[in-house]
Amino acid sequence: MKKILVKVNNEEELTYPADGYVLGVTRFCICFNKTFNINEINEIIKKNNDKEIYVSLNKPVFNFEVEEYKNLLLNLDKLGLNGIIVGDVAALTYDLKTPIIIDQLHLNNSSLTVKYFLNNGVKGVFLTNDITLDEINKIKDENKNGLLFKQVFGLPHLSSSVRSLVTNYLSYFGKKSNSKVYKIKERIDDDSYFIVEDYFGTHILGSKPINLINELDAIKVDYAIIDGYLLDKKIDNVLKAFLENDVTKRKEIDEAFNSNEGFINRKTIYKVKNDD
Amino acid sequence: MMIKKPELLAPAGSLEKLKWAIDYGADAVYLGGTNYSLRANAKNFTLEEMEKGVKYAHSNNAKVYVTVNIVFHDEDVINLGSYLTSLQNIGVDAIIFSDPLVIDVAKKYAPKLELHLSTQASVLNKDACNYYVNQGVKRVVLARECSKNDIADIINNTTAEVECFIHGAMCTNLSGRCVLSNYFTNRDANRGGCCQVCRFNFDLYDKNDNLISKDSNFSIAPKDLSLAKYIKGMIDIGIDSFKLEGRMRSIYYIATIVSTYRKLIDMYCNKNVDSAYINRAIKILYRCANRDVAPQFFDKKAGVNEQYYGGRQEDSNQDFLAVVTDYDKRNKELVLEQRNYFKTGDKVTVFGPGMDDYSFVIERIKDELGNNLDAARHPQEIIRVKCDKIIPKNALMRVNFLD
Repeated sequence: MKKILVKVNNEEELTYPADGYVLGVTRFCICFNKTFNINEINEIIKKNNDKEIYVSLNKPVFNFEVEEYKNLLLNLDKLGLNGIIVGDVAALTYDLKTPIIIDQLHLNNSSLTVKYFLNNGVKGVFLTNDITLDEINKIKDENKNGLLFKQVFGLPHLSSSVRSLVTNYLSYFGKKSNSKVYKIKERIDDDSYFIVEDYFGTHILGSKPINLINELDAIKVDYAIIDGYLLDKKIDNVLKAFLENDVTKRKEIDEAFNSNEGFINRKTIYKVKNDD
Repeated sequence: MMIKKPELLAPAGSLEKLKWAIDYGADAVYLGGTNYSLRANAKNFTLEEMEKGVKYAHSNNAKVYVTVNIVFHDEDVINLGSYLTSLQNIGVDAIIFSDPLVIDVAKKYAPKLELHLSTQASVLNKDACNYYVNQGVKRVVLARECSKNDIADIINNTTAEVECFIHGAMCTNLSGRCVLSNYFTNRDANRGGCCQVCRFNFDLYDKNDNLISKDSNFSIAPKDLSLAKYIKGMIDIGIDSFKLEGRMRSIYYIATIVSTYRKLIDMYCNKNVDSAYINRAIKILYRCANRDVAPQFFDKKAGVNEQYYGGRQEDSNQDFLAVVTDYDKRNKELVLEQRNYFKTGDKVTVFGPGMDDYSFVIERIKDELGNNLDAARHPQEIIRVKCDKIIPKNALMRVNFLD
């Protein structure tokens, strides 16, 4: 039975009746609207003893941060979390006792990659949004001993840059803007993609949220993640539909959020011409 | 104190380019096979071509590294084991990979192959580096976002060999953490199909859909990387391998950047620094690229000056004039295969393996039948020009832009 976790982007979402929550750790996560320090995380654990609590440090870590990263992980390791989601393999060298979930954004796409991590101290793997239902299910069939995590609702992450791309642009042209969130539109395409800056750099997200409620039964993952990051509507009804596995709500959700299925039923290509 | 001389590692997009890179001074080359490589739409190497390349490289004391650097889906893993066995059998010196499943497959099918972790894995710190060392990785190609201080600290705290890019095109985003191409064009960035969305022009809006970029495109395109001015600093901190980007570039580009960095590295390591040459080298390297260059993250966080903001980003370069195919000692003539237009009276420069640059004015051009020409107009036409100095075969002639 798969569990539904909410990736927490505001305090109110901690009251939602999910099976558990994913909390972003301040300065070591990307694409969370709300982040938490270790004391706040400890309080949330105490107040939610019927929920599974995961924390996310899903960013690659700069060399100057690595000592702080290590100390933070060693302290988080003492809190009794259900798991720590990490984006940098440096975490695998710290002999942590808490189950480790690896989330490298777009790097975990195959059965053998997942098997490799499960054989090297990892308890679970956060799968990418870039693979199909068949590929996901084969990964699970080949890795029954590991936990698989997958975003089933929310804007997909597309890219992260260390550069401050919007700030640089505004600065170059002497423009001013107080916006925290921007959108970019390519001229031959009507889709607007979200672009945000933070202390890490700049992230681009999809133009439409993915909505996999139709696939919820079929998708062989252990944890399904609902994420309202950057969306202008509350996700409580989305969560309710997923908790009740109510596929009749698909159209309603798609209309409310302009969502689609992403790559779950569509393969990418990469060879576009013959070698000759 | 002994100076550790870094390896100069050049791209080889084809067997021909492999030979040019080695002839012009590369200590090692990297190349991709027809599968498993991130340049899925390049010519790439068959196993037979790779074997020829390895023989050529080893006979010239150079090494060959093969990229197996895609992020695998299950369907891509088919035949990977036998492929790695073949690479081991033909004497490839190392593979460059990003997906850790390659570690397991290589241990089983090709245990003698040296493992180099690609920059696609975006290793930014010493602990991540040491994680991979414990997995049997011999060398780590660091993320291009590492600063000089980062690199120095990593080198001081790991037993891995450290390889860094020093010249060529950059990704805007952290390598491996970008799938813009997948979403904009359905082409899989991490399996070699990247269509470089980061070089598109965009409109920029605020959250309320107010257009910000009314009179100026929003662009996220980066300038190219060049660390020509920082070679000494890179040698001083002990980087093991200096990597040049450009498997899809021309032989002129490869010959130019390899020969120029070769001279710079040798100059610093032999403590025979010629500041005049350094200035010339920087001009040569900057001109050779078809985009502007910057040190990017090496000396500071890349900022306003390391990006483009719309407009043309790539200039075609007609500096490459001809390939020297022979020297006719009796008539003191260079035999050339033409590449770009030049005419009598033009001042040109010839450069090649084992020679100093030589500049002269074209006094006379003749076609193969001995007829005088006022200009060389036709690509690949065989022509002759008067030249008093003996020039080796496979030297290249370019526009003289330094004098």
